[in-house]
Amino acid sequence: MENSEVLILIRRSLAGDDSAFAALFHQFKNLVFKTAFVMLGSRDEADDLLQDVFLEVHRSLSGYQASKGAFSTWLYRITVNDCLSWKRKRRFLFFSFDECRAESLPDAGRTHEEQAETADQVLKAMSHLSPKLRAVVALRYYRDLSYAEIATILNIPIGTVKSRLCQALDLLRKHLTTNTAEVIATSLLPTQSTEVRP
Amino acid sequence: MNCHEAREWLPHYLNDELSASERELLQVHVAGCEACFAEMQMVGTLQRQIRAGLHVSTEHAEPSSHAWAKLHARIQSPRTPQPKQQPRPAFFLQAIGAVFATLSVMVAAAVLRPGLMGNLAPASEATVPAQIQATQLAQSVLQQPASAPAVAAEPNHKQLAAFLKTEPDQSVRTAIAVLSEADSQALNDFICRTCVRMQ
Repeated sequence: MENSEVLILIRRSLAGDDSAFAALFHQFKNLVFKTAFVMLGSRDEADDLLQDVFLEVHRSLSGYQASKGAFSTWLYRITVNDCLSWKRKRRFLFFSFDECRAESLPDAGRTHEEQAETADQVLKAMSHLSPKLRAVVALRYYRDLSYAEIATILNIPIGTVKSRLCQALDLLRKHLTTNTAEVIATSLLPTQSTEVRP
Repeated sequence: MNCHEAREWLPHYLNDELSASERELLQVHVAGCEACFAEMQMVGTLQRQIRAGLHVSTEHAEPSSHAWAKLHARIQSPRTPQPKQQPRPAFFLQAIGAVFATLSVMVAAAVLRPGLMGNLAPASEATVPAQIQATQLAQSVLQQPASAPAVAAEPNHKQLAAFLKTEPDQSVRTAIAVLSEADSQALNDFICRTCVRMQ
């Protein structure tokens, strides 16, 4: 959707047109939901956060200034800030890896299984990151945003984006290596059918 | 450029986030350093793995089908009126309030278990309501700014002053003295100020 179309929808929403706000919601719901899903690791929580974000958007839509950036950037900022405070409210404890795993399992196919296994490992490694590091990873590697865009959304200098990304990569590498080693070790364990000496 | 610097720049090089001069410096280093070349391949693989993992994990994740209906209902529902926020008293007054609240608990504890409060005199049944009343009166009076003119004194001032003059049991003051020397001083200042106003 072109930015001009978004601006028209915003203007109509501000004039009280519910169908325009519904169109905005359907246009951007996946952006909010999937970003929240990557950051929170839970479909239910991402669903709840989607509600909170769009409620906030509805209430503060008049505060959006197109001259200061794209609507999606504004939406990312609200989403990430809500995710960070969401985690604070829950004392950083919750990251539902099991649910992510269930979500990522495709129906059939060896290649998909391998991909799902990679996804499992990545999400498990993500659970070891602090919410701030997770936000940078989600915006860079999931949303493919530039460092400048990430800096604007998180309201931090580009240098901080770089250092957080390096920190996150170090941790992810460490945990992914550990996970891979565990998987290999598990696959090498003798099965129950292995002959047992008396 | 040394290997340490090169490795710090590698993720940003692969993300195409280096300036032209930085990029050139790194390329020259990596071309002549096998270890950094291997590291670059490793970081590239790691980044691809993360990217692929995140995309696969969200491939089938969708918001619930009734997300809009739920949101629409929330938007349409009349907002719950927010209680009007009272102006926050100054920190000093909050601290004094906390002391009095603690005191109330101590008095209640003394009623339930006489002697529990150690060196404080156990409260008799007759004096406890008076102490609680004094505590409540003092709390309400302390909400008044210190600079309030004497003529604006509330009836609570008179009641408390009368209580402080006539009540022989001093356990309210004693309890506060035990709790905090500083707060005890504050209470004494308050009593003097109140009595002066009443004269």
